[in-house]
Amino acid sequence: MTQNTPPSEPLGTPAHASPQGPAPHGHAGHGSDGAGPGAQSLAVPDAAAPTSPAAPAAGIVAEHVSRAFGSVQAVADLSFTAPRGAVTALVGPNGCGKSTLMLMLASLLAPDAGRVLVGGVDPAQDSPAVRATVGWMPDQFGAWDSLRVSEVLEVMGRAYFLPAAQLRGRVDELLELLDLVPLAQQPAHVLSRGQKQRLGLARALVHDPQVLILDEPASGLDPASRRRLLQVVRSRAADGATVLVSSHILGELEEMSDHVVFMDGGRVVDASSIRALAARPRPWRISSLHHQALGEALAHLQVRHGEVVPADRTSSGHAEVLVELPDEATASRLLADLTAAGAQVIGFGPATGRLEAAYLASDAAQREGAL
Amino acid sequence: MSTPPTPGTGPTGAGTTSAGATDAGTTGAGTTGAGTMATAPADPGPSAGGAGARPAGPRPRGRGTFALRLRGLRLVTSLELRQRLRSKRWYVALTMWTLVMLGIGGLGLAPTLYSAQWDSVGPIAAMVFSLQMILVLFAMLLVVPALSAGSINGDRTAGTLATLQASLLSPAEIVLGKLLAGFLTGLAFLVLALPSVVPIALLGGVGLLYMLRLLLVIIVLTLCVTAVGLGLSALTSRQLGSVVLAYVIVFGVTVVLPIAWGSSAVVLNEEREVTSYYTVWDDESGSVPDRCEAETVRETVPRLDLSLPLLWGNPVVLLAEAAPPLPQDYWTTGDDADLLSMLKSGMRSAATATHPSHAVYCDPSTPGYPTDLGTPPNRPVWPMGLGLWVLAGALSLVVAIRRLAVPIRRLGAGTRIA
Repeated sequence: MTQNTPPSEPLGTPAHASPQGPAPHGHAGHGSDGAGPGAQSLAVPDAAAPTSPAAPAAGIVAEHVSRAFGSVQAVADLSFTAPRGAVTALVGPNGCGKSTLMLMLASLLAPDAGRVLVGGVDPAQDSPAVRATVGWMPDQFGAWDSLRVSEVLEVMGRAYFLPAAQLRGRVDELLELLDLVPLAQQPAHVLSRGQKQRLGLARALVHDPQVLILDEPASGLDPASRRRLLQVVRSRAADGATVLVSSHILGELEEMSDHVVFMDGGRVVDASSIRALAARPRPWRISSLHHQALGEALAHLQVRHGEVVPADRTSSGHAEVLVELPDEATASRLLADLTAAGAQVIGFGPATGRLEAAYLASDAAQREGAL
Repeated sequence: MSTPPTPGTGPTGAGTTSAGATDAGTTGAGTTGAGTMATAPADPGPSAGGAGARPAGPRPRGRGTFALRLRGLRLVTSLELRQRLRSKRWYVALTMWTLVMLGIGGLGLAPTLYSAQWDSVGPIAAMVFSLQMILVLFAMLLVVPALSAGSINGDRTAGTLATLQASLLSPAEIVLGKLLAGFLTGLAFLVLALPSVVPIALLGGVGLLYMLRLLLVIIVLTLCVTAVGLGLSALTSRQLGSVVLAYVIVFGVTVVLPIAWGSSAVVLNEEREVTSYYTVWDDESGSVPDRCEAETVRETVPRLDLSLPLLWGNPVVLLAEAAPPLPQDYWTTGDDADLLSMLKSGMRSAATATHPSHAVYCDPSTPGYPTDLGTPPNRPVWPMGLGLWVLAGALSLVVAIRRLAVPIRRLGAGTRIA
């Protein structure tokens, strides 16, 4: 049984669109072992962690799922797996089929072909069983006119047939959890976008679902609410729930999730664990007290680099340069060498998050002219 | 898209995928304590477990779609009613309605009291009462389509329908809950209309049973129109479209079809043998009518009974069917009848085929006057009419429930689930 939790499986589809093109990161002096991780290196070291030997591997499985709306093919032959007890991020440009996929997982939409399994159950076979385990938060919040915030949660609890005795406590618990107590008696439709998002999350949690599907939960949230969202999502995953979350705020998503699935044009174009993304090339920003020292050190080490921007042209007040590096090990060696070469380094770190770097390297980002 | 298992991962990868998937299917039922899952025959078995293989045979459509639990029904109904109770415009509407209905009541009552002597007020009041009941029926038909015809697509636009669909509420509970809410609102309108008809009913000495029969017809029609409205709102994507369509149907049945029925008299004619009774004078002077004699001729007779189905569903006809029959001696005495009774007997004779046809031109005192030409069959119209409405209502509900069944397979053009 434990063998059925294959560590490399959760990210099913191989990355056939390799995001790292002709990587411009020579860095000759530093043994260029990081030739870019191939599709094989999608190992998920932490995913296995089976809390109990009987725990099934995947909370969500999509197998060759397709769905079209009229002539628009929203999802095309998509396969991926999201493991239990972990947060899986869904990243892709607008209209790439994320929401459609989530509708299918929430048992609202039937795929044209292929199938999805949520908690091992196909919604086409037994929709109520799937709906009992899934908490779905749509990207657009529909509010009932004139229902108060606490009443919305109460109605949702009833809609999941929670016992009346349990309901009251559950509603209070959720109001507390998502900082909605001061808003409890407000009509739901007058809430701000961020407040509605919190209510939407509370609504999705009302029946303590084992699978949580969140469609852009962070949009419109203030920083404190985002921390709260992060905590809620992490604690749900720690309790063994399967969490699938889509967002365009990649920094936040990186902090929140264990795995990432990149979508484009209705397909999975890449999948990885966040941890494995560290072994991918991304730009690093090196700042120095002296731009000439930095430039000379880089030249000495024969590192291919961008323009060294002098201190008077940067917002930080330091001389800065961007260097494309294949992985973190290389970065570490470069830092040591730069220090040794007297580059007066004052800052050395990734210029973008791992997720962002991976996303920006994808075809979708190239197409949209982000670079 | 039944591509062979995982083109990229190779044989071992495909092997683990299928094993993992089916394993998740079986153990999932056991471990994740959701009670319903244990009964799920969802596990397609190892043979169908391969990646991309679709379960063989027809999938069971929308498991639990027609499940009906009292708690679910009550939740949806109360949710709908609560929203109405809290919005001011509903109170405005109800107040306006009450005032208009009282005005109509006053309009009927005042001239009745003014024109009639006290001892003869009864028959006039009874006549005015029947007129007012028709007005109440029309008013209800104006209000009821609006109660439900924008309900489902309105919720869809507002984004609240998908939330309910994603919950454990079954489509049947959502649809019937909405039906109940619309129906109860309709009943509230009807109750508020009663004060306007009760005084005149008392004046006219209208029987309680008659009154209850009339109300029952209106109640059943309210329920059926609400159901039809729900079906339309599930089928169309825009709220305005379904409301207009509901009014078109009600208006068509109430006004357009009777006109079509009347027009059909032009077309529906038949050459038939008609037995005519003429007075025959024996003597040459022709002063004393001698006897009444039958003569068979071929004549063109109207066959409006053939096109009568056009009127079966007519709300006014159905209301009239609840009226008591005309008194036997009505045609000689000419009183103690109301509009609905006359309408009813008119419809019943229209429902009777005009053959064998008789035309009597003799004076009743003439010897040989035909005393018995057979009794007309007096076929009731309401079983067909109510049957049609109930059928339309039930059909609409089934359509609505099936349209709300998840997972949704076919999505109307331009509609968003959420």
